[in-house]
Amino acid sequence: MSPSSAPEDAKATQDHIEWRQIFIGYGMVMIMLMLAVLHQLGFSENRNLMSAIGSVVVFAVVVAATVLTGPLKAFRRDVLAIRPALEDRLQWAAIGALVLLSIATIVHGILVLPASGWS
Amino acid sequence: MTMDQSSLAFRAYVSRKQSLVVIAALAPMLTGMGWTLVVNSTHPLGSRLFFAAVLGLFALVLVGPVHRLVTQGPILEVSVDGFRWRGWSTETISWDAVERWKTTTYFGIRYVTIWLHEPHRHRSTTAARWTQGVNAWFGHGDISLTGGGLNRSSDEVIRAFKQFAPKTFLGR
Repeated sequence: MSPSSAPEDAKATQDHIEWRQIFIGYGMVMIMLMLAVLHQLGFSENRNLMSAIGSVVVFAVVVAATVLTGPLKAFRRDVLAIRPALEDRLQWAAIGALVLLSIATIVHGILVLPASGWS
Repeated sequence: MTMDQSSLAFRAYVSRKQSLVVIAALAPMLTGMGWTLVVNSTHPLGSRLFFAAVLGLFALVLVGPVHRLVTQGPILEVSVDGFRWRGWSTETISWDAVERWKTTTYFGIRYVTIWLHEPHRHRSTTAARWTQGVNAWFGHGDISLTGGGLNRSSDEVIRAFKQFAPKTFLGR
């Protein structure tokens, strides 16, 4: 049984997370917010329009994921790998923005939607 | 040598980033659906209670991430003495108590699955005790742990078990 290395112990204080988890979080919040806004604007009664918007969104997400994966991997490999502190700050900034967006979605849902007749 | 005194132990802490992402992603959905289907709903009372029950079950998912936001100290420790997984209990389970362990994959998630000689001597003191029976029935051993929610990856957790657990346990 060999002991764990010192660098591994040092890593215990870091907080690693995959970017895809943040993106999935953004996706879920944005879908909720988009549905709420579309409903508030009255678009939800037009099934064809909602279907078209849904198709466009799914297509855009797939394209964005495909196009962005390469540059993101390169950025992580070439820049963030040698500057882990920068990646940590970027991730906290992204998560902070996600939390703010989440709070805005909740407040929007509770305060605005009832006035629009959504129940 | 206790685990706390060991400087050679593998330690994993909670990932507050992951907890915040899960909370931020699920909270607006549950709140919005709760508001429209239960609180500000025109559905009959029975339907509203049904929706409340369903949403309540989904809300249980948030209990873990919220609890982990305030959890201090290592949540997983693996050393020559054994392992301590606070998702199971605060007890350090010695390697003598372990019958065998192996890595398993379920829906793409990698687990360290552990079988104990006498499981009744090492009962869970967390919510895991409610699901342990089902997990064991599905073949996931007495204790299953993963890198999810930790600041270490599943690969690192598995490496720690390979490093510290007696080699005779693996591969049986």
